[in-house]
Amino acid sequence: MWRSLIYLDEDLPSSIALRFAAEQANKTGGRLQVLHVEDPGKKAAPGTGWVRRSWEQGLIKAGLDEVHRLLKTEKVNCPHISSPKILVGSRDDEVLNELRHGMYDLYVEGYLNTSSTKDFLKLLNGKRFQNTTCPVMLVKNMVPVHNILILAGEAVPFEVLLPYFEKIYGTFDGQLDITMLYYRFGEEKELVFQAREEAGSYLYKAEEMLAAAGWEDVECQVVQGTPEQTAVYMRNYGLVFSSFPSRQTPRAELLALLSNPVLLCKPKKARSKKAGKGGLI
Amino acid sequence: MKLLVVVDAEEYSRQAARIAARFAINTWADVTILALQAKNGDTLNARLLDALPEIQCMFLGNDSPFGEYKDTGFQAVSDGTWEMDRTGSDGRKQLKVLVRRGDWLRIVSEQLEQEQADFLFLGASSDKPEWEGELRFPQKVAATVPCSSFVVKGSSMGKTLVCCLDQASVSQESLEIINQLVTIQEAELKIVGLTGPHGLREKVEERMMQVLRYYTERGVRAWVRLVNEEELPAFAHEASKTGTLGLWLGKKSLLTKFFSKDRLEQFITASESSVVILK
Repeated sequence: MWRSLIYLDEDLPSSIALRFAAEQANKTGGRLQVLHVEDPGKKAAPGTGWVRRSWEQGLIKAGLDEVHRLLKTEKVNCPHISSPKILVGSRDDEVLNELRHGMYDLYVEGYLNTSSTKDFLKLLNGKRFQNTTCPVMLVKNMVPVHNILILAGEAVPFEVLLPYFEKIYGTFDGQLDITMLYYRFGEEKELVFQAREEAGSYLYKAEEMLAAAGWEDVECQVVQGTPEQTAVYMRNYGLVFSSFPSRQTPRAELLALLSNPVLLCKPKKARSKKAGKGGLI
Repeated sequence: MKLLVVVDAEEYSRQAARIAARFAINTWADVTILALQAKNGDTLNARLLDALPEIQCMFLGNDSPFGEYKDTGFQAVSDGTWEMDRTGSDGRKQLKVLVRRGDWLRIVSEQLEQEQADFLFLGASSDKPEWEGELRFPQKVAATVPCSSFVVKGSSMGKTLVCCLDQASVSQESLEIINQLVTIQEAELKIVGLTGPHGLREKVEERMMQVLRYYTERGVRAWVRLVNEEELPAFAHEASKTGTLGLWLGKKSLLTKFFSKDRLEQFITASESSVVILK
């Protein structure tokens, strides 16, 4: 059973994230902890002692009302770890603090794609996501998950990714098709599908590991193209699972362009015996 | 729901009528087919008389609520207006076929008011922006009528329906129109929120949440994304290459700033695919 922290405001991205995360939790035996952070604004807290406490209590009550309104409107039904946590402070700091202390397996947030991929990359390179200690799910749209695409690449040791994937989707209730896509940047006019040998032994090994973990019949593809072409090709998948991208690479651009929910893993820097070379990208 | 399908004898009108027929059969809407003929013709245009039975047949069939095929000729009901006699067609819903002569824009406007129609269909050629010498006629109609309208270009809507929203006011009819259009065409729905210098307006965001919930509850998969208002013309042009573009144009809509009457006409003319204007 996995534990997830989900950040909610009373807005469209949160509405989408909540519904998607609840569905995943119900299908995979996960539990959600709702978190909302009230920004005290630029003004310093008024006074000290009772005055300050009353002011903070007011903010917390406003935040709790906001979250309850969203939960009531969305009518989602999924296992919760405890009642919603409402904190006052900086969103980055409070989220990171809660992730550190809560032993979560996943952090979930909603995100709406904009015209600029820079917005997405800026978010990923910001304090919150650079310092998360667990995988991050960014929900861009509400999509039913019948199939998952694992985005692979030379710099991503699959043995490091697999445990994270297994933790969340290892007990999926229902049919789940897995596709492993080995992505290469190219500037041809159309997407080019290559033989799986083009990926060396990567896909063969990954396929073996997935089969050993219980996922037979994984489809493996080697694709070369621009991030735009590849994002369009990937749009029919319910979720894209990938390692955390490094800055300003075609892979990061591809993840920014996707409309699907993305699950990004940032393995611990410590090298594991299994992982061989260890660290990512 | 009441539909007005404006046609002439050209292929683009047949294509528009085909989509309108599927829409009407799916929604059990009352339909008026309004055929327009040249201003000076005293008798019924022979090409229209040839085209209208075929167009009528598009609305009939096994699942149709419009009864059986009847064409016992047209009767003059007033000066410049003829109506097909469909007595005995035994339809559960109304299918009226009219031919009218005169000032086309005025006629469409009159007919809309008379029928109290909610949605108007008309076809447009991709390469010739005119109807029998009436320059940009479909574009002018779509830009001026008070109800939602669909300018159909080509035989299909494409794979996607991209609907741009920048105002809180969205009518129930327009939501249902989108629902039906994506259903009959098995198209993917994309809802685009327009952002200004201060991001997405709170009321628009609330409305997008409601719209998204509405479609999710009906099993329609809808994608959402944001587009900066300055990039809208380029985005709209790009979106029109692969599917139908929908614009929610209301009184408070910023879209009207980008798509004033003249610009909307130009946009529909330049668009490579169909355009749906939602009111």
